[in-house]
Amino acid sequence: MRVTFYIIFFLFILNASFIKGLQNNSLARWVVEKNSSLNIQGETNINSFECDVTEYLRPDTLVYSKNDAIKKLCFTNSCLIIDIRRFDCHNKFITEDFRNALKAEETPNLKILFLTIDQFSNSCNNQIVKGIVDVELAHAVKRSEINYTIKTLPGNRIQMNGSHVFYFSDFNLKAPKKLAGLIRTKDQIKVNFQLFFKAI
Amino acid sequence: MNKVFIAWLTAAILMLLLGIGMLYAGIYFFPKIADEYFSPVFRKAGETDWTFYAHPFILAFALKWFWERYKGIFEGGVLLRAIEVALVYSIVALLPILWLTYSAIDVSFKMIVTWFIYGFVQSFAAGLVFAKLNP
Repeated sequence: MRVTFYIIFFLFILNASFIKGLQNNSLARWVVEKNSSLNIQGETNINSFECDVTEYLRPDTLVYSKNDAIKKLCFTNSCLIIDIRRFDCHNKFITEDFRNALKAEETPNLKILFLTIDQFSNSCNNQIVKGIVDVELAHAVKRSEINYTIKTLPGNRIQMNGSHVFYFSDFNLKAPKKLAGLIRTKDQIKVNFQLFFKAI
Repeated sequence: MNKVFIAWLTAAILMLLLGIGMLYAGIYFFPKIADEYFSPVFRKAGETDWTFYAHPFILAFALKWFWERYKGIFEGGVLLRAIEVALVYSIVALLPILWLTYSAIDVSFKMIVTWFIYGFVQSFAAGLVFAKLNP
């Protein structure tokens, strides 16, 4: 009887400390707003080009736990999915070629999996924070550290801007080349994004 | 025979260099037209790249055959004979094939015009080489 009491007491203490631990890492959600946009800048040996997706139509939600002690957000299965077929490069030849280069017909989605954001505070005004994401394109995944500029907006909204340089070769893709390579796109592309979230 | 071979090879190499030079000049001066090379109607660079670089050798061979057969009817100085070769090639061969290309393939008229000029200049260069080395 006494042994059973000690076991129950021990389990109670353990459970209490677990609940306390959870309170330190509170779970929260951000809903991705429709006006979020993504822009890709690239260069060919003829011109520079820009491709945009100016609307985010999927109702995605980012779920995270926040460690208040170190102000770190850890995301759980939080992913943005962008339809590559919606990229518009403002030039019909480059748009089509760019989509083909990204293998849009085989794998139409560009996935950005959020992993962590460091030094996040609920009230920031153009604060620069670091985050880690996995970008998946054409069945290849590239882990990247990204600097975000974060701004809190009225109505529990958050604006997150950032940019990162990628290479076609990061995703085992080939930058478009024509006429035996005399006409070519540079391997390097710069991805800029402006994301709006609503905290719920 | 040796003279014929040297004239063919010289013309081919000159046309290759001119072709690449004109393409880069096109990119520099007419970037909007050159953007069209990203159209899906153009093959991606890859296994068939060598065929692009071989085209001046094929063209030089055809023009050399034509020159050997009909050089007697081209009279005058080197420049005049080269212009006549370029005109004959452009009107008899280039114009109809480019017309057909424009009718069948989704390329702009401006692009077709650049190819016509490109072919005219190449054949003029070949005519100069033939008239000089193998009159």
